[in-house]
Amino acid sequence: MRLLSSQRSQRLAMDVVAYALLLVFMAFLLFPLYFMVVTMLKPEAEITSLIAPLGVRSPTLDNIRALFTDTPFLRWSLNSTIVAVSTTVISTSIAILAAYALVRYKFRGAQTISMAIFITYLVPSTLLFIPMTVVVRELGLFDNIFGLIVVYPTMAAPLATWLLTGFFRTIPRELEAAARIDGASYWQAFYMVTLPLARSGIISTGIFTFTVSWNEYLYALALLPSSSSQTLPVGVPNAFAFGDAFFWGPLMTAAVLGSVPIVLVYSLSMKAFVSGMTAGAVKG
Amino acid sequence: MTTLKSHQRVNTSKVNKLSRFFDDEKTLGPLMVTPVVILILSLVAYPFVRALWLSMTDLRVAQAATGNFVGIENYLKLWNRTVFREKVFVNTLIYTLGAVPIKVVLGLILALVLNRKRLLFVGFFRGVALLPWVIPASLSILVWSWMFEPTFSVLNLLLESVNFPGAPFLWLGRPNLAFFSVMLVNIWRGLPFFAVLYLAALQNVPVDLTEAAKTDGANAFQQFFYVTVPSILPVIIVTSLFSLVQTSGEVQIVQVLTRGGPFDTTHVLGTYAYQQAMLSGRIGEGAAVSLYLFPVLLFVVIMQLRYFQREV
Repeated sequence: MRLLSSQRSQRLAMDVVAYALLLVFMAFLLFPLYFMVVTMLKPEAEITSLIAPLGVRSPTLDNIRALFTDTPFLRWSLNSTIVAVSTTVISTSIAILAAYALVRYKFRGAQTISMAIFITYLVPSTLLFIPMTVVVRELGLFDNIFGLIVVYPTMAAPLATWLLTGFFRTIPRELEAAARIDGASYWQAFYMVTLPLARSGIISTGIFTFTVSWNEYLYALALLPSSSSQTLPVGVPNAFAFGDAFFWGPLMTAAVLGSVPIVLVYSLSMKAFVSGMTAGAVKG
Repeated sequence: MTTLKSHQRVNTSKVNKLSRFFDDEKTLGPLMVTPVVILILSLVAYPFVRALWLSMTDLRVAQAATGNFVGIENYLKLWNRTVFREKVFVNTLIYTLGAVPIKVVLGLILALVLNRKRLLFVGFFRGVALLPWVIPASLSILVWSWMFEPTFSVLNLLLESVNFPGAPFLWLGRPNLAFFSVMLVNIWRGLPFFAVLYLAALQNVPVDLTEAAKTDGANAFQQFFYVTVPSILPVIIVTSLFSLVQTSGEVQIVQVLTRGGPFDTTHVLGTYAYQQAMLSGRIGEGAAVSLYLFPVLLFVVIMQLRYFQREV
């Protein structure tokens, strides 16, 4: 009996510690995001006054208006959308073909290619962005969002291939074998049997690829010098650097609105996101 | 009519031959990996070779398309430059070897907390914990510049309200503090990534294992160090290696917060390479700066491949 109650008090103590830690971690992780949203809703006078910095007294939409009228925010959003959607479609398509072939077919060089894809996935853009500007210049795509659409698949396709390899492995071979006995060709077995079954894997790979391209910074910084051709992650911080006033309100608004698509996608498919991350980082 | 028929017959047999040729994994396999192979060769391998070449030239943007071959002069010149050796290089080292272990330890602690299913709203907290990592970094870093702003820093207001010694701080204005601030933001952004991966790994630790340890009389700490840690060790190693590459290649946090300032004291390899190559136009020298990262990548690739081969 006494043992039981000591165990219970131990468990209670652990709970208290856990809640305390949770509080500290959440404050650290979420306060900046909270402050971002609060600043977005503040009128300018409140932003530059030290009274009640943590709350909003008279919420306003002025910052949103200022962002859309005084900065090329809409242009940047459009650029980001074009780049992210194109990269996602291109990279996912390339990756579906490669991942399927590498999982299912035996052919010479398959092992080497898997390894090359895996190594590519590890190479940081910091190592390649300088020659990439030279190459993109030679292609005539410098300062053009199509330059990014050419470059982003180099990061996104290896990642997507890696993720999809994991998904294709979980689909049983027997289904394809049955289709082949019924007279389907290899291609038909892939296209009509396995591909539909891999739909959820393809969607979560697409989501991951979209996020990677939507958030990318360094290539966009190096390849798109002029403001009107930039994407959100570069356009917004650069406006802050070169603007004459520190317009924190519109800036925080841009940060919030630029994050909305990703947060939306994430909240709709958190599970896919995490499983993608696990497969991507742990197996990769 | 008959000729037409025979013509058709010839055609179908051709199609059959062709489709039979493609209906073979030895043909279809290489064909399906061709796009990704072309992509890697032309836009990863080729630029990499180009980087090696560029780093051995004195190419400047203003000059003609090709610079003169100068051998390893750029590497030596950089190493003999005090800013590079004592700031850029050392900063990258401290940044990487400091932030990665902190993220591992804090990530593990957070994962252990989030793994307690008894906690109220734990599912919700698991979801929101990942937000700093999910949203575009260069945008979320801006809120930190706002919180570090000299006059209206909300962090200073909060610290002053509890009479924190030394407050208010010039977060980005003083060399050492600015470097600390940059690292803090790196930890803020990277921590959730580690925590979520460790959480996934913790959920895969077999319950019988911890139960067995418990019946054998192991206390909570023994259970943790002798059962939990060994079972998730592979995940810890792989995430650390991955983060080693990412953290040493840092650009955006430094670029958005300080641009390497004050007085070049917070530069890391990535931002210095950007400054040299893109802003000062010294393409060759900038390429050499980036390539100082290559040993880290090489180390991680070798380590990962050893693990990878064990997996396969």
